[in-house]
Amino acid sequence: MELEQLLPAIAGMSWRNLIMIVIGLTLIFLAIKKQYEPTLLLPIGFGAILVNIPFTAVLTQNGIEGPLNVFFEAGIATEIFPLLIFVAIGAMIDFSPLFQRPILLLFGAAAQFGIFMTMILATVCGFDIKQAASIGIIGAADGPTSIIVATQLARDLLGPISVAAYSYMALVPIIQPPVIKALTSEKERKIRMQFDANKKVSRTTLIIFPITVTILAGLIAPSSLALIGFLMFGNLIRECGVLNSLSQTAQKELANLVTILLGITIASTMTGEKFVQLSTLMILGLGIVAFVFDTAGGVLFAKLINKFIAKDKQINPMIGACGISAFPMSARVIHGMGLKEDKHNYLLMPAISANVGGQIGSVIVGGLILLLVPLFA
Amino acid sequence: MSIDFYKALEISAIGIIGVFVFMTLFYFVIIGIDKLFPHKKEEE
Repeated sequence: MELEQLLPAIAGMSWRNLIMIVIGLTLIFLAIKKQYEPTLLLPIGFGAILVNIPFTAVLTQNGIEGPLNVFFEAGIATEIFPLLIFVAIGAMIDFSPLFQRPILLLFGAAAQFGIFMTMILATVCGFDIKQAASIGIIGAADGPTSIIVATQLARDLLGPISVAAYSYMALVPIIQPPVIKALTSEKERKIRMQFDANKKVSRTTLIIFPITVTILAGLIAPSSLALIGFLMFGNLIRECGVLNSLSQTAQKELANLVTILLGITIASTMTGEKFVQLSTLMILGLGIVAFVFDTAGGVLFAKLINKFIAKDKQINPMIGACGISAFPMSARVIHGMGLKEDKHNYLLMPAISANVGGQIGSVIVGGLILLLVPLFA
Repeated sequence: MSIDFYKALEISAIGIIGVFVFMTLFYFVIIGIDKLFPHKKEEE
């Protein structure tokens, strides 16, 4: 009897499968040992091992779709998993810091600069416009948005794009500080900000806000409605005050359940044949570029605004870097950097405001890309 | 440069302007709602 018949999985193992199993183990190591986005990287890592064992039944067996393929078609191809995550995220977000200094919302726009820069660079690297846009969206620092955009525009690249998006979100404390330091002076990093943290926001305001944003976004860019609508739906559940039990469920059970399925299902696209390619390395490299340009965009925008506002209302340019969607990681990093420069400079609240703006901004950009790219492609 | 490069430039220009338009609109929404429905002490 031949080895192929006795142990088909061992005989059928290719070097690409082996590399992917090592990558899967590395992701599990990073998740457990370094705690880099463990909720996503651990399922993705384990899934990468599952799908790279030859003849794996999790993908197909005897012509029948395996569980991961079924999950993919049901949850990712239909966008249901990322949209449910948006409901959970919406239920977790408190928009009231935005009402304390609304101008900080604009950083949620400026710090999306890296998405577009990376899209342009990706076309220079040989990717077509749909692939380039999907790679650029890594800079949204927003996993569900990256998954939705990649699923619609470049499904073949979903695996590397998801891994890059979640890995770099975890690496925000490493990626952002050197970029900020390179673009700001010590004096700028020491700027103290006025912030009325005691300003109260009415319940009516917090209820009307998600409804108004949904209607406006839907009227101007209907393609963004699924993204922004589910996010705001989750937030309305939180703020309405009569659905506390649903809000708690969305924040905990729903988020946890979907995250487990989302991570392991994304891994179904991480077979050696699809993942071990030069394009994967390029995507990982471009992902860093996206985060660097996002950070730079936010910081430089803050410096620009400072030229037009009074001295006593100056914005610490580091706050601009919080305009990405990695919440609350980015705000914490900037707060920590502020304290390092001046141990009495508390930047947490303005940083959180900009960070919440980044969550809205990334979803809006995702919707705009889904609207614009098919028009130009 | 490829055609896709020029398409990316156009999409980027529209996209950046678009996201700023949206966020500016939301900025005014925040200001407006906050003015219309200010926090009252009895809510506490």
